[in-house]
Amino acid sequence: MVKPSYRSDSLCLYQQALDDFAIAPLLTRLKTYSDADFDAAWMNLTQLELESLTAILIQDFTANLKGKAIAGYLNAIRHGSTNIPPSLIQRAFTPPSIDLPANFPNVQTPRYLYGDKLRWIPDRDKTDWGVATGRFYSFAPHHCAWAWCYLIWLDKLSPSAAITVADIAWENDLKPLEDAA
Amino acid sequence: MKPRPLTEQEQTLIDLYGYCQLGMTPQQFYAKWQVNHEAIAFICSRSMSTVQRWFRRGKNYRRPQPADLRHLALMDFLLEHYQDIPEQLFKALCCPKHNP
Repeated sequence: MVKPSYRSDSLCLYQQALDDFAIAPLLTRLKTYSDADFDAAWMNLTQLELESLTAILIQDFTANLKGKAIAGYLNAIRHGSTNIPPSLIQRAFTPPSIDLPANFPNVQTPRYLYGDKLRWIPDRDKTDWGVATGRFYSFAPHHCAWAWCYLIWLDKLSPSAAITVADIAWENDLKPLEDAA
Repeated sequence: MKPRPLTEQEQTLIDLYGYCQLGMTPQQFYAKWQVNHEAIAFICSRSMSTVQRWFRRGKNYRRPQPADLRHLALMDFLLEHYQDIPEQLFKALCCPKHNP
């Protein structure tokens, strides 16, 4: 792959771009891939081979685009806002449905209960915490799937307590307060 | 107090508001006005933890709700046009004491 000049900031941007367009996860998956036809561990892939394989797979994908898949993803994107979540690219190629799952309420059991003390999983910055006061089932565009969403009543000492008393968060973005680092 | 019946014009206004696609993304708002994430959280009544995810890329990106986009669009509208709004009208809009 063509790399930018090796200034630390542009290298960082390059890595960011690989992450944003889901190329980094593809590289990682290829490195450890194993099935009946291909086992990466046996092949001793060089970095150059790995990058060439990645580029060929993307070219292959580009040549074999399917309108049904594109239309499905576009529908999912338009369901929320105008931003395109790059994580969509990582999804399998089945058009996602934004309809309430037919088996509702017999869907995955919610992980948390009302009254649980939860905090947002820290990304880079300080995070907020509070008590779960409610939950609802909603379409999560970043997963292209339905997921539980929780209403969190913020603790008085939580960083955003001065801004708002409560907020909502996806289940995968929360963890129990006692587990927090 | 008995609710007031709507005129045809008022019904049209409700339709206009209901179907209105007014929205501004946090990125657009952030690029246009010199604000920090905290100000955006304050405008949208969301936590900082949520707002930070609106600005991430890749797997940590989370999409704002349609209501958040409308909050930002209305704030943008007010910032652009508050000088054109008569003072009395502006007070009726933004002074909490005037709300029922």
